[in-house]
Amino acid sequence: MENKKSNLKCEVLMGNEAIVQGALEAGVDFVTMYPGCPSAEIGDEFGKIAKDYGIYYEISTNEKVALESAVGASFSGLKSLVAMKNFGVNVCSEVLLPLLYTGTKGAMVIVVGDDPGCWSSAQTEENSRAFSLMAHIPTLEPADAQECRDFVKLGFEISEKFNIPVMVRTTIRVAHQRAPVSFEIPNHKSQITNGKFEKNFHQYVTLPPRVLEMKKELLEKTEKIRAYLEKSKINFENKKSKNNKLGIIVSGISYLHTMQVVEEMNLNLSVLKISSFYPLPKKKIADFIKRFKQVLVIEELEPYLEREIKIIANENGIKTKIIGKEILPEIGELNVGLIENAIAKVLGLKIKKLGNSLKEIPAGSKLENLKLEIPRRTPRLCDGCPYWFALPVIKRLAPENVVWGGDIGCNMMTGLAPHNMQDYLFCMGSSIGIGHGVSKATGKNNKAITIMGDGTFFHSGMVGLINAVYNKSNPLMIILDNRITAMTGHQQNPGMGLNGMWQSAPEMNIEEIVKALGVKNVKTLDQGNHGELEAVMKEFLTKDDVSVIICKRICAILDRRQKKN
Amino acid sequence: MKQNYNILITGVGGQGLVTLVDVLTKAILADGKDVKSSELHGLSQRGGAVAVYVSMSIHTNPERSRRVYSPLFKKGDADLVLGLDLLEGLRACDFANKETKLIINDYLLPFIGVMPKEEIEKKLQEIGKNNLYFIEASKICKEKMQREILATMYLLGYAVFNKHLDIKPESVISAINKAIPEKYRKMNLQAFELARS
Repeated sequence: MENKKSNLKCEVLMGNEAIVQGALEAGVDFVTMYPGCPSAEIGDEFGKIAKDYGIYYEISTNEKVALESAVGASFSGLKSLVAMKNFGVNVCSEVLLPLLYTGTKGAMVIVVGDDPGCWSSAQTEENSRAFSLMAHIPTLEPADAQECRDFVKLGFEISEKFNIPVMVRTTIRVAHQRAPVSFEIPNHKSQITNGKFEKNFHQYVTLPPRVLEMKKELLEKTEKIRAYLEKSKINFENKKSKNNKLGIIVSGISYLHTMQVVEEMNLNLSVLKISSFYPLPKKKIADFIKRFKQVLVIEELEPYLEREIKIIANENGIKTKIIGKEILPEIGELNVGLIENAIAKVLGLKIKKLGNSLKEIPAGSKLENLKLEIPRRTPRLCDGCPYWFALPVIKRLAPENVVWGGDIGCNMMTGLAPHNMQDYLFCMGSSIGIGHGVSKATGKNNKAITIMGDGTFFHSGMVGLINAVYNKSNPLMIILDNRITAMTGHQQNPGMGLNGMWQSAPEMNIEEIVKALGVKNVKTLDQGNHGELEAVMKEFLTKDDVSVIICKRICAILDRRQKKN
Repeated sequence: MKQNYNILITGVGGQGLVTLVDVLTKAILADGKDVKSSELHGLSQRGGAVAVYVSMSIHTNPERSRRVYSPLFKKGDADLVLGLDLLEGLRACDFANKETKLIINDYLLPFIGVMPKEEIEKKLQEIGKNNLYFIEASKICKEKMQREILATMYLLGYAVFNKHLDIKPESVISAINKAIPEKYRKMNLQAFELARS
């Protein structure tokens, strides 16, 4: 037997690796996810190690199904982890909201990765904390890799104690941060088929009028969790100071930037880190803010925390001035520089712009000094990417009145030079859904040609195609099938014949699915076969109903990798 | 007062920056220092410009050293720039000050609208002056090891062996052994050692 001490380790882990570590230590049995930046590596890691721990891991068809799958496991008594990016919460919200009403049986943690600054996301700069308020889901916000591990473990504890799913919300600088993490070597082994579904109509069926009772129970539970979190050390005050001029409240990654500023500027300030965004430790916050004349709330994106704190101040008759977004941006990430400026402004301090810089220049970099403009290097399709073959042909043959429908994935780059084949871009699967609307609305005035990848087709593109067929419109849908979900780091999808753990699985044939949906004009061809693509496209452009061309060829990176191995 | 040593690594998606930051952060911990880093994955990785931030504590003694809090540092606060591409090296200069060491791979991944190589080099010289080092890392790794991607390890080796980066070579070697899969370990160690000479 190893003693407990030798079980402790300290290693550099990426935030997402630390999340996996926390889940392993908590004894997770069942892991589901849909890949998306910045949370994709969580699944990738489980894909490699799940078997060693007897854990079940799946890449689900989309985030809604991923959560549903975990609900099934939870009701059967297993501990589950679900991971997704911010937009995934939109997709699974239909399941998430009632799940808070029913509660969980086996503990469940849902990891959501937000992306302030949209480094790895199109679409919107979504702040998933809005869902915490709407769904009443307990939400923990780690700032560093250590907290990623700790909060996932704690999330499972809270979930187990209160029979409620817990959200761990990261942002890109947390998920993709590397830092030393202390952890224990897990020693459990799961046996997932040991799960047993014990029927509980009262708890698992959300029919009225019971559903309103459930809501009452949820609100009561929330207050119990709030009381628990009031005492938790995850909401803590660092650098307690007697200075009553200014107090700071921070959440998430902003804590690290703020502490860097406080240390570097040798400021004598109290900093309260709030890690449980929902439910908030109201008493702890009230006790903190009443000590100061002003409190600066430092959080990224929308001022959800700031608003709550203003309400808490109001409820408690506290006159402290609460400031935040008047001096901090609501768009993009926060960083050391922005926070330094904000604190200096409130304290009336003059900071030397870039103490180390060459000269005193306003925005203070050498480059601006030299008035150097550096051309932007935009992302592009990889060398050898099969899309390079098909896209020029499709563009050349498209009629002048074409409306290009864009979608999510590597094919997003059709919107950039040299392709410039995108007239709208929304979310997973929407190229065809919107294309249908364009076709219906414009008749002969425009021709909708939509471009989508194989992963997106399975995720939600199929549903839009059914709608187009059923409601009789005529977009031309191009499916660029590169045999994998590539953009997010090469994850398996239902078209590959492999599951999340790289075991063989039934291979969904896109052409057969499309035919079964009632599409008459469908053709699968090699992306490199210009002649055939040209002939088929010319023919399909004359059709009055929906047409689908599946351009199939393996992703160039995947191809090279397979040949190497 | 500044207590961290800040390293900015820039390049183009696909050049192996993620592996480099994995090795570097593990090496810093093996050296007994605190470290935090930030990297990007996904969309920005597909041939786009990638910047990786690494901050390490200056002292190993925890009594004397403050911990590294933020994984990002300010413009003007980089102590060392490792540029895997000339233009991306130049882009990193936004974070440089007059003391910053610039170690730049003499290698350019062109794209539509790129600046001429000579102009990039000239600008780098104006900024870097005596602190600028053009290193033919990709060329050397291609010639000696048939793999340009190992330029990351060569540049790291150059910085370590020339004392631009206060990490013991043994710490890097142990980090490579930990971070790199067995199949590629030997060539990464070789590329690192190549810079010793």
